[in-house]
Amino acid sequence: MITKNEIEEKLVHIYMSQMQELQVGPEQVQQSGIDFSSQHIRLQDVGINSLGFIRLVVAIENEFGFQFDDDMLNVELFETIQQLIAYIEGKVSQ
Amino acid sequence: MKSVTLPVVQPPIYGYQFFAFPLCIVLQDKRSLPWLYSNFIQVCFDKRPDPPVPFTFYIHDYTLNPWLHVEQLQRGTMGIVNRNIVDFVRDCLLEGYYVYLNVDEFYIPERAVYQKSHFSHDVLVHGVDLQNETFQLLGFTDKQMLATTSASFQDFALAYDSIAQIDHQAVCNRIYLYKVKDAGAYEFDLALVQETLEEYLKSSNTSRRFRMVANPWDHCAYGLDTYPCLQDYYERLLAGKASLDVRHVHSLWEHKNLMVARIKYMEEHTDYLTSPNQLRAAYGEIERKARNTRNLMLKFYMQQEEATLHKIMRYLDELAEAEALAIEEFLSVLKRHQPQLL
Repeated sequence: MITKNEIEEKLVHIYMSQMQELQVGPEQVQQSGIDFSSQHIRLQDVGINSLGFIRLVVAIENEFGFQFDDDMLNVELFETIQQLIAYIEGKVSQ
Repeated sequence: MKSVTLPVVQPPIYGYQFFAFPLCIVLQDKRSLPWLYSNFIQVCFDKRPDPPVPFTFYIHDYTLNPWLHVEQLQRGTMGIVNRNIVDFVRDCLLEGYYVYLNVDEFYIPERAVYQKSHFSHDVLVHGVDLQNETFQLLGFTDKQMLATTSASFQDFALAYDSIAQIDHQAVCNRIYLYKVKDAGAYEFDLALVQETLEEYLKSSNTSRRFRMVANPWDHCAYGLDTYPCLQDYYERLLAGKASLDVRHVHSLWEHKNLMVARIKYMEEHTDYLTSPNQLRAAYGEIERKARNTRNLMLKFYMQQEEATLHKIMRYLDELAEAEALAIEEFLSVLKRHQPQLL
């Protein structure tokens, strides 16, 4: 069973790869990395808009081997990164 | 005066910038809401091969609304008035005019095609900084967001001049000047809402309303008849006979989103909706499914999995069926309020 810390680690890796590829997101975030364990980091604070979110979803699905529910393909439902991690945790444990 | 920034707000319709820009300006003032919610009900699908705007709201003229003073020039007129474009746009902004025109985004920083390829695209210039010699331009950025970015006077002039080289058909030859018309007035038009809902339900050609100024657009499908056109597009996409276009289902979602907002507005600001619970719930569900459809198309854009397209097509069928019932319910609710109008 994958742990929450492992999910966080993989998510950081996915996110950083995408940011470098797309050259989006604040430069300081790309340079210093993000503390995804923080309860307060919001997706929009790290440069993820609705299109960027779908890109992230596709990468998460490929990495963790599950499909997002159609209703959850909406960035507005994940105010913080921790909420996204909790959703992934719930799906991989099913 | 070293800089001027004319205000803009995020509009509810942004899939096509020609709709978004006037709304960015007039929706600053809540007095424009009765006009917004009396309009943007009908949709149309252009059935001609490769149209520039395949599917969106039907509006006779996107520049016409009660709070917008509009002046229109041709690019050639700039030669007659003998002004260079930078001086002209600067002076317009200083006088309170937004400037809407096409530029070659090859020269506009923070655009997807910047320094990569030549592309004529519309922008709304809504600010100028005289000290730094920059304009503020609203438009879709390289992050796929409708946002304001800056361009130097020099780059802007290059972007303007380059259009002559790339837009050989001169399809975007016009320069619009927009200015807020404070004296505008418009009351919520219940009859218009009812009539246009009827036209949507019956797939009637709404452009016939304007036949005194233009021949009807018989090349378009309207209202519920646009669903089979959307299905046909996805059939062709599956067969490799159409190019990928997210705008269809984005416009579909914008329409449902605006219908939900319209119902909410009518509930809060009019007494036309008697017992609207069923209607509100039905359109809430339609909006949810349309949003999912749009998001699935974005997913397809990145994954190219055929199964996603099949799901989108199934959702379109379900949306068509649900929306026909919802509009009947909408008309029925309105009829309960004012039966003499139907």
